[in-house]
Amino acid sequence: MLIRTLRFYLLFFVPVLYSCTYTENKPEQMRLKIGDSIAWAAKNINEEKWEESNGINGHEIFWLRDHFTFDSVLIKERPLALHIVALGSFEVWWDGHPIGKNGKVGPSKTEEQPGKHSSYYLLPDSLAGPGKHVLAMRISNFYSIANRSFYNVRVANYVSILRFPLMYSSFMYMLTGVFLIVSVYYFFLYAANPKEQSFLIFALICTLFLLLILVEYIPVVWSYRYDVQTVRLEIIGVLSFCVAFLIPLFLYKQFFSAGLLLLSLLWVSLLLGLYVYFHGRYDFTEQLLITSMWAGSLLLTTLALIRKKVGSRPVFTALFLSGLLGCWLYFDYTLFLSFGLVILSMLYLLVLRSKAIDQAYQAALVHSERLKIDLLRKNIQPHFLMNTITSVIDWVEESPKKGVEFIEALALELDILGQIAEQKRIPLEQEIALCKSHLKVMQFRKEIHYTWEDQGIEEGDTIPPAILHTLVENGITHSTPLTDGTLAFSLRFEKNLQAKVYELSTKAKLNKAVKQREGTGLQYVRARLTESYGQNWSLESAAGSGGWITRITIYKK
Amino acid sequence: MKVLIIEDEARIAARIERFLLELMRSSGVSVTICGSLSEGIEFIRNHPPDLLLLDLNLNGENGFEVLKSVTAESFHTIIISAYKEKAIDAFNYGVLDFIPKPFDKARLSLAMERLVNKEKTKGAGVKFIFIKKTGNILLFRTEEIQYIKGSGIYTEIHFRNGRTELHDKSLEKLEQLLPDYFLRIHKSYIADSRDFEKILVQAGSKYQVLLKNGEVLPVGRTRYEELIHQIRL
Repeated sequence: MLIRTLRFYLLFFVPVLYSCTYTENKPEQMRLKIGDSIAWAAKNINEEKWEESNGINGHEIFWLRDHFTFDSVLIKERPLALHIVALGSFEVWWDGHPIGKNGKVGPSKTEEQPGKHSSYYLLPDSLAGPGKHVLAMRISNFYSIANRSFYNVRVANYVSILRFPLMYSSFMYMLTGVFLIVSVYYFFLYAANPKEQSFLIFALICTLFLLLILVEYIPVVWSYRYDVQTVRLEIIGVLSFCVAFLIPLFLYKQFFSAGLLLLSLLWVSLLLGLYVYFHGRYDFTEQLLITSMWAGSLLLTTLALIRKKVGSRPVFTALFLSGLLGCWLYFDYTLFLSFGLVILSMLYLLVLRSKAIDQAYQAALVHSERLKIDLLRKNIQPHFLMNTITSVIDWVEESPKKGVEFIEALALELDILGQIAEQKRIPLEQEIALCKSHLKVMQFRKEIHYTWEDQGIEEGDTIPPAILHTLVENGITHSTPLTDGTLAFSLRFEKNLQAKVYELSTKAKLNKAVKQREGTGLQYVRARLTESYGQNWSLESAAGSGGWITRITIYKK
Repeated sequence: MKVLIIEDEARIAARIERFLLELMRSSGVSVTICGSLSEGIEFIRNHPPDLLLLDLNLNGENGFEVLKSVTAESFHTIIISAYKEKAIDAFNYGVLDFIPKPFDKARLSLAMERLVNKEKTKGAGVKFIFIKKTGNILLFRTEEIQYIKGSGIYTEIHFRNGRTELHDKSLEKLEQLLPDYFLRIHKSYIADSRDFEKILVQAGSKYQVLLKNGEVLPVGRTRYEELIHQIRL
């Protein structure tokens, strides 16, 4: 299923991105000179003392001259337009003719009015003939907060130059929509199930990822001041850093469990090192972080694959494919495409996880139903029912009055069992009432004098249903009364800061045949304790002085 | 008649005892009650009764183990149990009767009549024969028995494969338990009628039956007519 989805994903996006190409022209030469002279706007001037560069450090007023050659192929694309990306305000001349300006150039920060980072200028066909052309820009960059400012120019068909970014970004925004829904969905899942940290991590990854796409492609739809560009790049850096941290963390959590904290500390310090060391080299840093993330994830997944972890194969495939894409396509697209691939495979892991959770839930449900049935069966199983009925008949025949008493005791026991059958925990008082009514019934059947005493019982304390009852049943089955014909049960309750202790002792002669092996009774007790307290309980059952002692300890979490 | 009741429900044990004493007043009966299985088994070892009334939880793991050991004994066993659906299994293992709980005096009386009148058990008869031998209990399928010969208070069971084993039950008691195709042909013989080849009449009104494997068994004079009638050879 995952592979089919991946195939669709690739078949859909890759050709679409490939179709988004068009003919464009970039400058053959770029010359820069610090200073200011309107004469430098002319088409032909002596550029001997001009620096060969398209960017400067620091804040200046300066000129840039870009040389183009238009061939017949480009001419066919008319009308043409210039797309200028600049960290500065400027005025622009084409072959000596002024064709536009961006903000207001000034010799100082107070006199400059900052322009947009990205701007477009239509080239009249009369100025766009075949042959050599010169673009001259008068620039000031006092608002720049970057160490170095760059000035890039492209020429292409007027419509294509506007439409192309819209085309490829629209697909990226589609991707954003997908991840928006997935992230919201997993945030909700996490809210409903706070124990599942993977849901949170995944929702975060999806959110960061969609923010990353938004920030990356925002220039297409929002024309912002040139100084905002640096802020935008910083944000991209931080987002890449977070994603590069979280994706391998998520994979590690899915495949392995031990040493998560140590490993994530190591990983975050490695990424932080890269981030700080290469800070300011925006695209490069981003690429480095993402490549590290990829390498880290691939390493983890390979380990998982070797250890045959569930779901490691599709994740490995996705990482491998994204690696291939990375070698094949320009970084901008690959980043998001391969991210998309990896996140799809992670989604698959989460689906597996959800399936496991669902199965565990179903199993727990079935288990609870089982216990409920076990409880209800206690008093309709033939051994109890038929022996009781036979004894009732006998009592009725011999002494109707006693018979009625017996039936009433039985009715009480059945009534309590009926009341508690649906509960996972019941008040301790109710459990004691159940034990007492059972002893009364058994007294009529066995003609043994059963006694019950309890001490230290705390009001409002609860206990899983019929567990003491089960222990009492075991006591009756496995012991013989003392010589005076009595069999005494006593329950002691103790509570301290760490635990609650229920101790039920049976004072009697033990039958020789009491086996070490655990009967179905104790299995029921254990299952009920696990249902209510997870692992936080213990049960000891052993022969003690003058009888049998069973101790249930419930630890505070 | 010595009767042992193994029943852990005091009230029910007393009820059985009371009914027994009322039913068997004329023939004289002594009743012992054991409140637990282990106690009962121990008692049997030293004082074998003439009849065992056993309350057995046949849903438990060792119910049938106990059943095997008691049916290998010389006396008849009647099960009194809450697990009605296990009756057929109990009969297969060789009990004389199965009384489901709750029971009344009439039902117990029926069982006692079956015992006293040496009536055959209901149903298809015992499927497995258990034999005590050197401390173990061996299991044989009733199907494998060719004939049984009375030998004092014991019986010799002859299997088709030539094997012979001694059983503690008398010929009369086994006859009650065995399926219908086992016929009493002689005061000392019971044989599987499906194995009869023909009946030989010798000089001096001496009758014999020839088995398919060539073996010849004696037929009692008084039983000849009945036998002819039953098998129509």
